[in-house]
Formats: sequence, C-alpha cells, structure tokens
Amino acid sequence: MATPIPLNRIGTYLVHELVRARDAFASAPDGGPFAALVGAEVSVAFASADGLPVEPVVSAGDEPLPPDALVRWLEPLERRVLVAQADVKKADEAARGRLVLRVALEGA
Amino acid sequence: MVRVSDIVGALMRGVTTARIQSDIYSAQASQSYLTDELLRSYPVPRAEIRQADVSLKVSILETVQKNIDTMAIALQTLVGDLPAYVAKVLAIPVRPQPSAPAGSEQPLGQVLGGAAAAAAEQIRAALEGYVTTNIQAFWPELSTNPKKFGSGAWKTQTQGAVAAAVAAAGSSAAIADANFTKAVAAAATAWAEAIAPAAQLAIDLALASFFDLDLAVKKDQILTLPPHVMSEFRLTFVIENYEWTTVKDKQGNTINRLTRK
Repeated sequence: MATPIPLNRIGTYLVHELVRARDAFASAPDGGPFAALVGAEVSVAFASADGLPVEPVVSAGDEPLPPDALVRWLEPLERRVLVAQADVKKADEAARGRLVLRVALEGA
Repeated sequence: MVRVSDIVGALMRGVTTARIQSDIYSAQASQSYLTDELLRSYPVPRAEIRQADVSLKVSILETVQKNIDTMAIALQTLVGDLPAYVAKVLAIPVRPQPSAPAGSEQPLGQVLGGAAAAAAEQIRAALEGYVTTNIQAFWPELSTNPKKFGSGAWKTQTQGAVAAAVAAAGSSAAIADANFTKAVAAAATAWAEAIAPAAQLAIDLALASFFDLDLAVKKDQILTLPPHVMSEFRLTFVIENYEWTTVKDKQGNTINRLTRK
C-alpha cells in the first residue's frame, strides 16, 4: 500500500501541476502565441486510507475557481487517502470517492 | 514517470503543431490558387480552431515519494522541544542542600537563582549534543518504545546533564535525592512519550508533502481497469488565430499585415 496522503495535498499538487504546465508553455519559445490553457476539470479517484466511508464526490462546486482560491478551499481537507489504482481498486465502494476540481486558469 | 504537467504540456504542444500544419497547408494552397486562372478569384480555404476541449482518461499508477531525510526531521522536532523539556526539569522541587530539612524543597531553577539561565542552557546544549550525535540509534529506539527509552537512556542523560549544570553553578542542591531522581525519571518518560508521536507526525507530514503522481496513460495500461479507478482530465485550450489585413503605411502605401483576430 502506498503512503496515505491528505486530500488537500493531492488537490494542491494537481492545481500546481496545471499551473506549471500553463506557465511553462506560455513562456516556451515555440509555444506562447498560439495556444493557452484556460480551464481544466480534474476528477481523481481516491479511497480513504482508514477504509471508512467517504463522500462520493468532494468538490468546490460547479463554477471554476482560480488556483489560489481553490488551494484555500482545499486546506481543511485533511482526510488521508490513497490514489494509486491498486489501492482504489481493492477499496470498499463506500470508502471510494472522487475529488473534482474545476480550475479557471485564464489570466490567473 | 508521467506527470500531469507532462501530459498537459504534450497536449498543448499538439494543438500548436496542428495550428502550424494548418497554416503550412493554407500557404501551399494559396500558391496553387494564385497560379490557377479560375481559383485565383476564390478565397483560399483556411481552417481555424478557436477553442479545443480535450478529455483524457488516466489512472494513477502510484504515488512516488521524493527523498525525505526522516532522521533530520525527527532531530529537528526533538531539538526544537528541548527548551520546554529543560524548563520542566528545572521546575522539579529539590532541597537547596542535602542537609536541608524535608519541606524546604523549591524548584531547581529557583534554587539555582541567578545561575538558572546558564544552567538551563548548559542542560539544553548537553542534551542537544547527545541527540544530534546519536540520532541514528536514538530515533528507532525512541519511536519503537518511548516509555522504555524515556525511563532508561534519556533519564540517564538528563540526570547527567543536570548534575553537570548544578556543579558548574556552584550549587549544592540535593539532586541525588530519591524524590528528585524519581521526578526526573517521570519527566524524561513523559517527554519521550509525548515527543515520539509528534516527531512521527512531522515525518508523516513531510512524506505526504513530497510526492509525485505517476500516471498511466497508454491504452494497454488502462484498458482493463474498472471505471471507478479511472481519473479524468478535461482541458480547455484557446487558440489564437491570425488573418491578413490590408492597411496603408505612413507613406500611404498599401501593405498586408498579419494581425490577431
């Protein structure tokens, strides 16, 4: 079994990865002018590390939030989870959930 | 290892490449149109992509831990808590001299008077030196059985450090008294039992902070997986489009300029 990771750190990691990709591409010599990542919706399957039931969907809502607002929203989500496919696969149905993040990346 | 940013970057690069290839095709077509009697009066076809929504199913193969120096984290936690521990030891009642009557006990710090601050620093430094030098052996023992460690090695080190500091202060406090020795043992055990889970928590948090997600994206990696283990990325790209516009320059000459739409 992999190391359990707090849900807020999983979410923050994903937001940072999206921002990193957007910024790296915007500053690339062969990239910038043509395409820009302006939004993303990420849905990550997880299982609670303690095997106890979790909310099926953990989300900040339908409206996309800028990265900093999303990271602030994630802060209280301290529940430790497993996200590796092998761990999620063998978890009970009630212990499985989805973290859904909608990120507004335009001009953020 | 495949990271989220690798996938997003690759998709963005693909979108850009598509735009470039489309422009190259349009340029070739415009040459053909120009040389053809009939076609030259027609507009050259040109595809535009203004927005692309890409949906991608992936699976997280594993969480990859980055290297964490667990000993350094444990050491930092232990050393950081030493001043509070020393303050507790100096608060243990002791008789000012071995000959003083029962009931004359005062906190050791008070008995040391003006030398108390220097003694506290001496005890702290001695214990920090011991912890730092022996952390490789110290931490496994402390984390496995804090009570045993606290009432054994840690109590002995604390008593030695206190004795040295009391002697350096020129005090004759009755630190060999059974009650004082017992109280130091209790303080040492309590510290070990409290600091072990705190240091373990600090290590766990560090391990949880420094990780990467390794994604499975290839067909043969994800084809047989059940839907509930799949994760999904929906990405929205906007693509800037350009067009040729005819304008006049400062001299009044007609020129063509590529401008953003």
